[in-house]
Amino acid sequence: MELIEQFALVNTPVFLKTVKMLLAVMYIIHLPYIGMLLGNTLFSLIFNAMDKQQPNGLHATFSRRLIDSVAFRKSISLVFGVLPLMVITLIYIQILQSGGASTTLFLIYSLVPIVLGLIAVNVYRITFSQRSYLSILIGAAGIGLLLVGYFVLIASVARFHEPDRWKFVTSLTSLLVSYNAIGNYLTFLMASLAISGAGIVFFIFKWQNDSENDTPEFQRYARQFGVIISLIFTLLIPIFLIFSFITLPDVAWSNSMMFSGILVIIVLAIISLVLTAMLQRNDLKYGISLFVLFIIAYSLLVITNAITRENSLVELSKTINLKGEAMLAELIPERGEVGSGLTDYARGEDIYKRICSTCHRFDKQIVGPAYNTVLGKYENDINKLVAFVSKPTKVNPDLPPMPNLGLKINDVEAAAGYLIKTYQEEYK
Amino acid sequence: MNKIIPRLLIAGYFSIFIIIIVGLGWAWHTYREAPDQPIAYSHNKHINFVGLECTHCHAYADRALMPGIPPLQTCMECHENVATDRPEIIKLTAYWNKKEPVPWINVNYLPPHVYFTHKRHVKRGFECAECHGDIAHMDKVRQVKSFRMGWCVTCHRANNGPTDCWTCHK
Repeated sequence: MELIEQFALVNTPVFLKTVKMLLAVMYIIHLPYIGMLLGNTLFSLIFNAMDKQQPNGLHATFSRRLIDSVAFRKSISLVFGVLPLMVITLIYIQILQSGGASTTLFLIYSLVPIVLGLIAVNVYRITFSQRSYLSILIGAAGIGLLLVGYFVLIASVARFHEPDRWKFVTSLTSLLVSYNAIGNYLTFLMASLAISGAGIVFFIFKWQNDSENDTPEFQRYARQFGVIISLIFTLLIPIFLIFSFITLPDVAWSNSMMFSGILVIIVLAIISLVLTAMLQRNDLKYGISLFVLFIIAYSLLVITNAITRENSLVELSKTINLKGEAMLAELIPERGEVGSGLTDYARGEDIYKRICSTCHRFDKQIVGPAYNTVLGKYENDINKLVAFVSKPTKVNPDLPPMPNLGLKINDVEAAAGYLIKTYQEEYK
Repeated sequence: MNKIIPRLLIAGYFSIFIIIIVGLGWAWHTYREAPDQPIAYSHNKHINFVGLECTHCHAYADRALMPGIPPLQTCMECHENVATDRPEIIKLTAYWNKKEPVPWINVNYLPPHVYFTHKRHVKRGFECAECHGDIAHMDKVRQVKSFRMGWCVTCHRANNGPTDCWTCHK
């Protein structure tokens, strides 16, 4: 936990806002990619196994084409897979600091099976030409590792929305046994398989040039498979999305979160209508639009998730911001030399009128004591008054404690100088 | 005709989910959303900027079953003079002048069949935030913890507290 705190930088409101936006961008880059990777590998494994059981040229070609798609290239895997995942983890450490320490630790642990899974999937792609059972086994192990890794990751992220449970999340079981985590995970799986279907249509027929060399039979088969798979899983997404909404704690809800959720449903409806049209016309006219719509749906899902997180963590964000502002205030150099404010009576009077007079008067007690009863002890030691106002402590047990006003030292000096001068000239 | 039916079915199917979200939202807004209080009192401002202690206002938090809602007198100790021109303080002063209590809405509520003693939990060393969330940073009070039986029992188990029925259901 100390290590997590060491990793985190000083947060200021602007910095925090920026990293949260970066988090959303990373998710929008990562989730569609990993969804397609998962789906394509799964379908490739199924068709590969089917071909091994009963040789079928169509299945073998389709299995190869799925694994050859752009998602599996090393550079793409790094830019869209590993890198965003690292950034996402670092951002969560930054946002939560030590607030959700145990959940953040599980998030870090989830990276292990995910990276191993990505390696195994890559090995499956490289050894695909051998067409061996070992290759299929490695691919299946890769899928298994990715599924486990993403469950832990999604459960950790879901727990961020439940600060009241943080204290109780001490083991992997207590992390994973959460209806909301299960709802989010199933939504993620459905979305992954749905975008995989769209990806088959988009990448195999619109992106890769060798689609012209494919037989019409293969083209028809792959097209129909992609569209049907995409349609089935798009129709299933809202069921699990609603389930994850129902299982959210009350603090995560807000009007904007519901509005965002409704927008997700509307985009999913449009996607389903486009897929139905593609199925009815048996063409790929809307392939690009379909893919863009999926990216929009993912973006809206990420935004919905960000809204629920913000709703849950309102107080934590305030605490972190206050801490950051206090630390920054210590780092920012003071205006002028220490002691230079003592004779700036005009500034002192302004500060007295704006701030001090809320609780103090020279001749009567309001919230704090009357100045003419307390300033005498500071008359010959103005620095003591400056020190007290800079870091006030409770003096009179019958009165409320004086708050720390957060003033710069020169401002405190100016106020102290004005108070002592006025006291000596008018109230002593 | 054949093309229209699937489209209508899809539109109808997704409409059901939109209706469900709207319904859930209505239920949350009606029963679970943090209520607007008669005066927009901010714990954040009074604790973090003024520097008050929780027990300054909730005087019985560590010595009675109920923590106590401060009487108007406590507010007026300061607000007779402080920030008297602010709209919320004007409302407060109006209650004070009419000699009427502020009708605060209970947020952290336990049903009557639950016996809960505030002082027992405070004396055991629990911070206010353990049950009330980070109330010190709340501008509008909301219920952060579920206060469902499962939540209470999990906490009792984690802290070796009693878990027999009689403890909470006399």
